[in-house]
Amino acid sequence: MDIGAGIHETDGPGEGSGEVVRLLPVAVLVLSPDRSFRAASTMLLSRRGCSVLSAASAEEALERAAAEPVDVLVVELEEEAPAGLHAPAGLHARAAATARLIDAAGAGAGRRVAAIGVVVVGEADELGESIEADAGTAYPVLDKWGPFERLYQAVCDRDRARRLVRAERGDERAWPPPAFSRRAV
Amino acid sequence: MSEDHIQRDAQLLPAAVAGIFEAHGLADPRDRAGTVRAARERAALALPGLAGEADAPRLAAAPFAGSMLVDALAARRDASPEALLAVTVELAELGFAPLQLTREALRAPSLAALPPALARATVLRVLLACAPLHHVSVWSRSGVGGVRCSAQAGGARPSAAARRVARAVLAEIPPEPGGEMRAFAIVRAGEPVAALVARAKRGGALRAGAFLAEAEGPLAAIEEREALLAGNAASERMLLQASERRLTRLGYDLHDGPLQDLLLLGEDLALFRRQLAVVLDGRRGEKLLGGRLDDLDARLLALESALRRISTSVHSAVLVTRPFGDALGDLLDAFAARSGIEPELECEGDLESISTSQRLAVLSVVGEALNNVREHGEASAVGVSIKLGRHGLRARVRDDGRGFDVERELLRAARNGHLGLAGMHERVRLLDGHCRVDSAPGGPTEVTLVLPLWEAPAAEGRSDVAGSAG
Repeated sequence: MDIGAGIHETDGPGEGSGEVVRLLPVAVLVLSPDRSFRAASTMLLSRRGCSVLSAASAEEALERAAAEPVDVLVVELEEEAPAGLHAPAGLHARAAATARLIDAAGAGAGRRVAAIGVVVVGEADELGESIEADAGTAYPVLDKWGPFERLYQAVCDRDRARRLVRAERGDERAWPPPAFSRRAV
Repeated sequence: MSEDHIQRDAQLLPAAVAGIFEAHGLADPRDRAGTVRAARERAALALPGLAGEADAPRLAAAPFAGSMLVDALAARRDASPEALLAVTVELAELGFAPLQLTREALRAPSLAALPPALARATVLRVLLACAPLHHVSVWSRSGVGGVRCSAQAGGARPSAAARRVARAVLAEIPPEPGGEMRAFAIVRAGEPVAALVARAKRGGALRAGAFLAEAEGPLAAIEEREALLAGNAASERMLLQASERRLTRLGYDLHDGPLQDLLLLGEDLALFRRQLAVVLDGRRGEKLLGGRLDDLDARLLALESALRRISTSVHSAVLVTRPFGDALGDLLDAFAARSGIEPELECEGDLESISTSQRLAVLSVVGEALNNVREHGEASAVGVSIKLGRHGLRARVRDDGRGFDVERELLRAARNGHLGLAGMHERVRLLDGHCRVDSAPGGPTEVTLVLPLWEAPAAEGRSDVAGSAG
């Protein structure tokens, strides 16, 4: 087994499809203008074994993503939704745009990466009806001060979903991922 | 010698002296014009006072030769003994006798402008260049009743014989007669404060004594200047320590006084909000008053954050300047005084060698962990362990208190603007380390900090002997 490859695919019992076993920690980038949330989520995600980067702005996030690989983006979007869009749609659109930029930063740094997973967080009273609206939408939206277990679960789910998408597509160019080194925590 | 000849020689000699130093790489030719012009002007001023002297031009130019020698020795500490010997020989051929040259060099104003250690070393190098000496050294009393070599010229290291002689001189024991070793006491306020010890070349003991006697006065002045500077430094240290103590007290006063009052005020405000809600229950103005209370709440929170920042920065400023052991000791003492729990401390390795940033991180994490123990832990025993090994530093604070749900409590504290250990974790990450909190309801709680070893870039050109001129 090649540890450097980071991820190993095995046949699941009784199924033809592969279950992916992660050998390197999930790399999470926390993008939030709220220093308290960044500090707390960084510490707690690290405690759960994730390799965590944090950024206060999109520009800083791009710099971080260009320097180190990112699997999942936990993003708090502070701007108001663009006029004419419902909050959830606007929120997701902006989250998707941020994620695409971060993917582009990784690709620009020469990494062949699967599209990153995204978890959107915010203040419960600002998110309104979009909160917890994971079903049928692109990204889970969570109360950032809600139970940490939910945030962590969402991060793991998005990481798994992201890898399964790549596995199902059978995209050999990016699978298995490149043997980049990543510092384990 | 006619007046014209005297004037002409006095004008020519400075350029000749400068030329000798330049030829041996001990002076910069680019400085020549200005230096020589100034020397000529000084010689012209000195000549009238030397009327009737047989060698007036050389006497007028001698201070210039002496100051050139001091400047060369102070600036070119790597100058070879051979180059120095060649310079003194050529100056002697010009008519500057070594003893005269020594006297002038030791009187040079530039010598008084040098820092004491460099000035002392320069004096010894002047002696070594001009006098028939193998080696020469200055010794002073060390704190443990012995003597230590504060400067040396010639020889690889201070010799045991020189040490014995220096000890005798400083103890005011008359030296044994004979031998090549010469020694003088450097006296300040009637007390021998240093010893000048030299080994003369064979047969040169008497002559060497004359040179050493010339150095006594200048060395005494240097010792005096160093003592004054040391006295000033001691006063500054005392003032700094006093201001550090005041700052520390201010930091604790802020934390324990106004910050705690603000927290109580916040709780009172919350109680008032609940009481008001009962009274107003749906009446007109309830929303307006609720909004006003929200504003007051927000201002209280901002004020509390500002005070907390000031309290922390006061501590940080103090921590940087103090030895790690003292700062850690104060931290633990303060904790013991407030909580009644005497923490058990375990240290390993040279903790004074860690970098300032690491020191701040360790003290902040330990301090924050102890604060948590004191405020929430209900502990009866606390252990603090800090170990510095080959691979890095590991600090651990462990208590037997009631413990807590780490994730819930950290998020709750962060939501209220209290970064606490999460803030420390941020700081530690910047140093490539990590900080971990392990706890659960019922306890125990353990805060661990791991920092990689940091090594300063190797310094170049370090000398083993302070002020060594050899």
